Amino acid sequence: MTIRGFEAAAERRLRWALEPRIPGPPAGAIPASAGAIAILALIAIAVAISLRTTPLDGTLTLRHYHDLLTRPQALQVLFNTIGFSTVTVIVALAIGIPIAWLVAWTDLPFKPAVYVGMTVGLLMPGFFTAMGWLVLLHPRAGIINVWLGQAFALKPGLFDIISIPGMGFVQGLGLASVVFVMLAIPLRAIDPVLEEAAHTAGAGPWHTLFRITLPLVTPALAAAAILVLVISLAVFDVPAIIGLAGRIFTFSPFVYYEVYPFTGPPDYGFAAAFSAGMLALAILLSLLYTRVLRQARRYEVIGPRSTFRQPRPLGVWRLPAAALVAAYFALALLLPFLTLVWTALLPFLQPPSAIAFSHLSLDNFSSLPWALIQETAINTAVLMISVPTLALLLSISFSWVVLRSQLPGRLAYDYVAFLPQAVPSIVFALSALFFFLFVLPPGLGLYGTVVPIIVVMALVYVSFGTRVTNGAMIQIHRELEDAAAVSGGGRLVLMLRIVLPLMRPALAYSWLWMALLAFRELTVTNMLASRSTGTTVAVVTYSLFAAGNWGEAASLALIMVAVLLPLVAIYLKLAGLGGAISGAVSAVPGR
Amino acid sequence: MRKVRVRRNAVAVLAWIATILLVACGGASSSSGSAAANLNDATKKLVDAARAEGALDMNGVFNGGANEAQALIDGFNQRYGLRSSIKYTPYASGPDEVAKLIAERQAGQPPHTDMFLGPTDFIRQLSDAGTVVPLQMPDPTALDSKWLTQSGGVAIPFYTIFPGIAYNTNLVKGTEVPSTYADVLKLNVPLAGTPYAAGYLTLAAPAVWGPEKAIAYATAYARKMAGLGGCGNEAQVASGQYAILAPDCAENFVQILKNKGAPIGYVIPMDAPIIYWFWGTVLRGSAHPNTAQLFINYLATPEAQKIFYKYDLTDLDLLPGSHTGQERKALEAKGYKFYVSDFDFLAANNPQALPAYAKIIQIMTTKRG
Repeated sequence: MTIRGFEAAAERRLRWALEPRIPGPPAGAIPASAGAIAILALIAIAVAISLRTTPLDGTLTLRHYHDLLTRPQALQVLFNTIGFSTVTVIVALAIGIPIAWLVAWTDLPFKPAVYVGMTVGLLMPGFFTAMGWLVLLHPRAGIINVWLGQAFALKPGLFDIISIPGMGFVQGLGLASVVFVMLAIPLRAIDPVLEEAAHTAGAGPWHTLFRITLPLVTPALAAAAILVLVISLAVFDVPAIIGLAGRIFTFSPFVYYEVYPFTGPPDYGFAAAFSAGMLALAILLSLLYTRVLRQARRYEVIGPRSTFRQPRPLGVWRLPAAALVAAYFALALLLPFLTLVWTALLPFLQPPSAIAFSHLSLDNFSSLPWALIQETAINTAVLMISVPTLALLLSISFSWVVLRSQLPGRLAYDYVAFLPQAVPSIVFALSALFFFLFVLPPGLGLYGTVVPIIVVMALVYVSFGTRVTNGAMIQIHRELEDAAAVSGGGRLVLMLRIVLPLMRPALAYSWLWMALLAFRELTVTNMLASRSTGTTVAVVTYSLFAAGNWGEAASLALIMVAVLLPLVAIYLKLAGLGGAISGAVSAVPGR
Repeated sequence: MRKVRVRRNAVAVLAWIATILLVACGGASSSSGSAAANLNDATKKLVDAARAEGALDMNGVFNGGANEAQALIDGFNQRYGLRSSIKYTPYASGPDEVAKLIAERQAGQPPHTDMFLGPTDFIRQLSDAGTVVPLQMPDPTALDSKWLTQSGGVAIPFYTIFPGIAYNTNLVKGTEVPSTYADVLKLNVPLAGTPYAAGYLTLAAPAVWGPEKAIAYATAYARKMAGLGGCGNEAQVASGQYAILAPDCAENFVQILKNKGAPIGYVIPMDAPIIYWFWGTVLRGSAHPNTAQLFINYLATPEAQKIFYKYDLTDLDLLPGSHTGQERKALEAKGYKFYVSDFDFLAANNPQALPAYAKIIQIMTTKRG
């Protein structure tokens, strides 16, 4: 190298080192920019459809919004959705808070098992639990109702799962895991010295609880409540499985049935107008969620933690507390599982009896559409690999732009990346369906394949992918990158040799987490699936159920769980219990 | 150490996914027959074209599911000396499927399946939307070609269903068992309806009840309704979730459950006995149009009819020696006068029935009180 060459290289390195932030390579910002455009475009498509007389070539109109306000069914759906979400939040908090408290502060036995159970609960498909509870608590034929009726000569329908409270109960059981993971860590982090000080100052346990403990966990509690609310406003599985039987429609199933109506052509405009309304509500809630999280700083306690919390002995309450937690797992996981096993073995649903046992067989397994399942298993595997990969690539790019670049408006990227957390995924699915069906040339052959599903799900998962990548990237000190740059490493080398290896553990378990979510996803896949080349195993399960083949649907759901559990075990092994739970905090299930 | 663990686990994950892929790639069995029948030139031409395609995509709601579809393609292959494979996809409901196909046509996309099998009005909707192609029947069967002509040359019928009243025999007994739709309203039991108001398009036809009576009936029925369950959900009646499903689409689904020991019965009501035929039609732009044409032709052959009866307990009443034909004759001898919802019936009645039908769907799917 010549002297001039050395001088030029030294100048480049100096310029690099002196920059206040390491500028992101322009190429590094391309995926994030493409992702941000795609997210905003999908939202814009929904709004645009809602404002046109016909989706493609219509004129501007507010007719769909007028219909929305004047159609009684739409108002009913809104009330149903709000009622369902309210019950869900109450149930999730009522279960999640005590279990988080027991795990964080007491000597509750089998704590690792609780973490494992909660992680499994987060990943269990909603339709699995919903089908199980429908069989258990159907007002007339539910196994529990029939037993209670026979044992105590009660009127049928003591418990009615086909109701807003019933649906909220089932959804709340599932989302209690979300409350748990969001509270367990903040609760564990509270310095016990504060309570000891309150005790020394003469405060009683209740006074301490209300004046010290609760205020400290209020932000996390509020954030958990809002997040559960946002999820339940948009959820599809549980209301679709349970609600349709009782003519109880909530937002996502209602939008689905407007796009695939019981008669006549699809009403994209009305579905989009309803979506736009819910979009506004969801974004409002998410802004509130962000604000609550920001306000959490007001509750931070200055200084390092002085002492470690000794688990509070539960004494004689230790076993009852463990029984309470076990009861939750029985309700949320075990009972639905056993019920599905029972349903899968029967030709038609019936309560356990000698006659029923004589009917048990594996016919439902043998009559499954195996050729289709083989094909959709491939699609599902493709989704499980490509969705987390694409979502993480986009997330890394988003984080790079936000944390490492000098791109103007980089903070807007962070907000756009968070949007899918707020926007109900069925809205993205509706827009994507419209785009791939009507806008893209048919010659591309993308409609009806897994491509639209991959794109939408990857964009949806960017919201929590960026929480992971932001957290991981922020921990990498810039000096490491500076050192690499001064040593002559290019930007690509810097990314491949320094940044990504340091982020690898976080990337690995968030990749697997997203793969697991992709495995069980139903909202986006059901909306976008048409031909078998773009269908997943979850959609086949739902179709079998909707067509009345409950036995076959239960069989396939059990097969899905059999595939899911080893993957969950690998995830837990990979992330460790602590990692799993903190991963779950930033990556609660998509809707 | 951590690095090694991460790598080992990553390998385990990939191995697991690869296992799923391997299992999935196991391959569907394809069968072929050996003996081709004596075929005319037009059929031979279609057979040759089908041979070049080699596959068929079929969406449906057969009771026998994939096994039935496989039995049909096996018989098809045997008849025509083909080795075509079949991909059977169950769909959640007919209306959902029709809506998808029409949207795909409007968008200029190829249809997601090769053919549609369903009742007359669904075929009419698809035909009106320009979604189907003219059909040939080169391989003669006992089916009169006038039915193809009546459909506008786009569909042929292949099996018969009798809509009626499905009831749980533990919950509705003795004199309570309804013999008419009107009787159902006298009972104080949990009723089920279908979200797409199955049967009501025919009931609302001026030739049957007319729009006003059908709407009044639906309104009264909906007041007593405990919930919704589509056709094919007769197991919900058997399990006691509902005491009655009316109108239910098909007697044969109930009979299949009954044969399994389910406490379920079925009545073809005297006040509106209806016959629906399921028709096969080929979708415009489908991937395997020749195989689909030949396959639909095959559905009217005695071999296919036997398969339908084996799995679905139904066949086409128009064909000589059919089980449903005998059943129809027996019922007519008892005084039943069937309304056959064919294309001529729809043409004569739909202008008045369709608006009422849309209103009835609203009534059935909206919960009041």
